[in-house]
Amino acid sequence: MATRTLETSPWRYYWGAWVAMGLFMATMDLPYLAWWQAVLVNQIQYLAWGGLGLCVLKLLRKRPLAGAMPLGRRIRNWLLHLVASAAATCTVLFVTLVALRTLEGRPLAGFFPSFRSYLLSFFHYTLFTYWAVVGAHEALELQRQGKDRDLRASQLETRLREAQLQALRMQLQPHFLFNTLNAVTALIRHDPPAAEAMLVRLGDLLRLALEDSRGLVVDLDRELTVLQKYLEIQEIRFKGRLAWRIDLDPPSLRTAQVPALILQPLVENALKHGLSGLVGGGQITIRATAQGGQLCLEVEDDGVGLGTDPFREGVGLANTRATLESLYGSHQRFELLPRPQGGALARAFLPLAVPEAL
Amino acid sequence: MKPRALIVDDEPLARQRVEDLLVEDGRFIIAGRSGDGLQAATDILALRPDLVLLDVQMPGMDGFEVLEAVAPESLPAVLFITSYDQYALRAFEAQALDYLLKPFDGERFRRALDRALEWLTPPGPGLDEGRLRSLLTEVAQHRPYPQRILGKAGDRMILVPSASIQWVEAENNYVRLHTAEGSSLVRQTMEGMLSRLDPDRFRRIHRSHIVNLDFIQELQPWFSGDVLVLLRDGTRLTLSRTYRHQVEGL
Repeated sequence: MATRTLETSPWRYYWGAWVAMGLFMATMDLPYLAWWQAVLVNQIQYLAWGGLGLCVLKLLRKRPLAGAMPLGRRIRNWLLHLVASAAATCTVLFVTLVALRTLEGRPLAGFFPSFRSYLLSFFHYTLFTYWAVVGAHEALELQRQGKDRDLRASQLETRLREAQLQALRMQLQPHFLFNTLNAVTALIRHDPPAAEAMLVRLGDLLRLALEDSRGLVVDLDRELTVLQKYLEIQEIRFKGRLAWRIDLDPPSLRTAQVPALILQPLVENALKHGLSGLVGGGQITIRATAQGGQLCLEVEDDGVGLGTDPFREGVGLANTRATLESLYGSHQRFELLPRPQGGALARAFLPLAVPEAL
Repeated sequence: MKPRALIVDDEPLARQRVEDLLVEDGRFIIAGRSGDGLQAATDILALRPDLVLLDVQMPGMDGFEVLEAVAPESLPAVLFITSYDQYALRAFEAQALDYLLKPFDGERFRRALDRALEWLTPPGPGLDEGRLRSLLTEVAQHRPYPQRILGKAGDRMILVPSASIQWVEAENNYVRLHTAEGSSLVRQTMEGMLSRLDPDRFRRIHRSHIVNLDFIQELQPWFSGDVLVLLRDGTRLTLSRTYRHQVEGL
């Protein structure tokens, strides 16, 4: 029942509006016609408009007047609606006049000369009714688009928050945390300095992660520090199976602004899919370069490549895309490519924003 | 003769940790160390250890998949080791199986070994293999169909991607998996095999045949209500009348 009401109510309003309009206009004819005649003729006129209005709405959907379109098409659509409005006005006036003359009991005698003078007196203001329909449609459409935009904006906002939370969780991933602690229990016996180094790195990382909940955007430097701590821990865990390097060119990029935790999931992904399967281990390279006014961030691994693993682009990367999109809209690009030599390359382009320092 | 233990973990330091504690305890001999799932499954079948200290989360093939792969032939006593996986923990609790949480200390480790020794030493209660099997069944219900199946090609163990299996043939106590590269054997019943294959893709068409629908070229009516199933590589199988409903409505 509820859906039925929702579906029918706009049409109830639509026809209600025309009936109301007819009643209102009938008051103008009261000095010249009996009240019931005035009501009848005006109802006929505005219900005719109601019927034609449906065609107008249909035509508007096919041949819109507002919105982005090539100029040629825009001109053609306006011309079409101008002609249509003239035709619709003539039709309505014709119907009205037939009704009027039927009431007066002389439907046909001398109809055309009288229709001509009728047109001359009423065409201009009746024409506006057509354009009132167009105006109402565009207004409602704009309102709907506004609502859609608001909804989209709030959805993007939510996704952004989720992405950050997810990144934070990845950094503090219980799995990572407990495995690191477990590795420390092994190192304590055989390599106490390494155990010490690992605990200190883990402490640093936890501190950075806890502070990271502030701000959407951070210095690239800070982002790289987090990665460095993370990779130093993984390096000890994977004991000689993992080599990594961070290239920054030019070094002044350190102050460039990047979304917080943007690289973390990419490195995590490279480790998980790229290297873990490789018995011999592998290399991860993180690169930040300036390219044509854009900041290019790359995470490259020489692991097993993208292969056919459908999970290669998992939640982490979907979140990376969402974060970039909500922060930079169309001024960003993200891609995950197979490397010809094996392994994969994740690459993000984003606007290069460096605070005054440069 | 001391019982033999196999250490399975993808992280060298984690294997080191278990090895240290095992050596310190002295009641087990170390049979071997496996660094990934496939290695672990191969080692379990080749070395026949009495106890497997099995890390649950490993990339590629995880601990449960390792057990699933070897279960049809042999299930050793298993001591599960996990860092964090609420789902796995619930499954262990449900079956009252012992598990170790990383990081663990020597005391906790020794208690776990005590229990394992009770299973292994007569007249102990023996390992309740039933519980382990119900654990695998329970886990399998909550996870996608395995992407890889461990089979034997000649005397080598190989991992066969499920999607590459064209058809499956019953062979005594085994089933034979046919792929474009060749065939391999799995010790399994037809019903058991069927339960590990995605029903959207695999259908049983005969008492001793399962076919991957993706590889069917055409179906031709044959005698007495049977249907000839022609695979893309030219293999001809029969869809017997009894199994006809399996491919109806496709």
